[in-house]
Amino acid sequence: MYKVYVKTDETGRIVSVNSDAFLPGTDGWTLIDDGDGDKFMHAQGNYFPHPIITDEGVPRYKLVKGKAVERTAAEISADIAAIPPPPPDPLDALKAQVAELENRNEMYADLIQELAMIVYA
Amino acid sequence: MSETPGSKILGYFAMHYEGVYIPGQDYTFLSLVIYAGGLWLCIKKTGTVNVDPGSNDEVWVLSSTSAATAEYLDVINTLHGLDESFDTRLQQANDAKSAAEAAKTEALGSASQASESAQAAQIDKDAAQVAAGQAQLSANEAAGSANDASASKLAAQSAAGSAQGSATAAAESESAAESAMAGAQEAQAAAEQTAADFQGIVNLVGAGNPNLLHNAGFRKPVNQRGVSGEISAGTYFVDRWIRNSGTVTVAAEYLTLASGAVIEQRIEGNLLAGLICTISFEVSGTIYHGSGAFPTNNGTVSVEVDGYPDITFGCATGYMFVLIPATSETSIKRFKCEMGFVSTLHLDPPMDHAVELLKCKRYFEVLAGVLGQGITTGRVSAPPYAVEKRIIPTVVARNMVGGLDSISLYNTAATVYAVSSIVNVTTSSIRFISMADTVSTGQWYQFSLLISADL
Repeated sequence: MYKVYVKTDETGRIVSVNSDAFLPGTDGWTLIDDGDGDKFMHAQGNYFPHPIITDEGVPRYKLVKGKAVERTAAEISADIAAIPPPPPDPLDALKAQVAELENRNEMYADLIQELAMIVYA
Repeated sequence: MSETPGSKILGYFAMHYEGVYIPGQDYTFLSLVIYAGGLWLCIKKTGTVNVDPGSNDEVWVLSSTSAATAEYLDVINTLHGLDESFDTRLQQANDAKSAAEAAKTEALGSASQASESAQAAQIDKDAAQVAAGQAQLSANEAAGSANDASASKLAAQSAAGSAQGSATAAAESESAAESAMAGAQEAQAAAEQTAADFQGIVNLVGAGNPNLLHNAGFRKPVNQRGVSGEISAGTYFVDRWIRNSGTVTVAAEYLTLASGAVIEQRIEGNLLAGLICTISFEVSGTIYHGSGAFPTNNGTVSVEVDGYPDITFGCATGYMFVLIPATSETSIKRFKCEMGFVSTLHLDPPMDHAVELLKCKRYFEVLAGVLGQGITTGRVSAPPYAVEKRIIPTVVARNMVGGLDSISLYNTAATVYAVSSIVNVTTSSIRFISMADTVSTGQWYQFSLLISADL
């Protein structure tokens, strides 16, 4: 008989699930079920029918009155919308600087060419 | 005689002739005797004796003179003759009546006996019908249920026909049973001979069965967990083996089970349910073995091993298992569980560690010291497994200094980052490690992954 535990964040979203077969301790974990077989022993990837984190990185389940339930699509969508945009990629800034320098070099080349034509006219 | 007006009949009486008077003889009332040429009538109601006629008128009266006496006597004699004739006929009638009554009684007795006989015959008939019905029922039941229906049906029908038939059928059945027993004994002897022959052939050609157990050679077992020495806690120790109870010791050349220890290996699936298998193991150069059928449903069966405690074959949800106990300290070099009733452990080469390692990795694998890169904030990539797992495994991350649920910064093992969860695990890979601590995109991290799909 294996016991299934979940760990939640401050809003009750389930961020981790495992069984006592693999947990060295259960502090901070909540017992939600027990049973035999792979579903319970290997609860991490087999207890819930879907991955506990969506492709966007949002928890798919929540703990309500001691029971794990799937969050609604609206709740998940709201979480996805609230994800802060990633910080600017420093490589993009570098690429912009390079492009600006290239433009400036082209302009300097054009100016030199014009000055040469004036001097040697 | 009939009644007349003014008179009433009170009864009848008659004189009775006694012949010549004899002195001293008793005479009753109305006795007629001849005496002194006359016919005398006794009129004394109480009768008389030693009173001669003519001597007392209150006893005797002269009824007739001598002239009339002869004629009278004729009449009397005639009457007497008639009486005798009547008595004779009466006697004859009585005799006839008695005979008739006797005949009647005899006839009644005969009738009663006949009735009893008839009743007994009816009872016999009823009993015979009941017996016939029972016998027919037996015949029907026998005909419906027995595999050897024809013989049993014939026997039952014979029983319905007659007791003799039943006896004959019973005798035939007994004979058939004896024949069957003899056949079974012959079959057993043949099977034993076949087993012996097969063992001989196996020994001759060196053919062995595949080992149903993984990592069963303890001279160099697969040991991804890196256990050693005495182990008295936890379950899995060397790959695929579970310490069920007691203490086991992993030594260089063997596995030692302390007294009371029980080890177990679980075999994936329930395909062995009901199949006969042989378990063998080598202890100090001696191979012990025993055969038995795995249970068909969840449960266990004991397998006798000559010279060793019973081994247990078991069936559980999703797997079969073998339990090996030790009642005294026992050092075992290798195990084998194979199909059939012949032990071929002695023919097996040493365990192929490389092959067994791949087998074991289907159930448990350690990706040690692998690198992952920060993908975005909070996510780190991870490499795929070396071997596909039997189910979606349970994955635990371990940093480079041994701590669980965290990873190390590459080349800086002591700088660790906490893991939130292992996300989107499949049987062949994990999509990424979700981090509780912030990690940098493009940064390399190092860690080990313990991937368990153990039974």
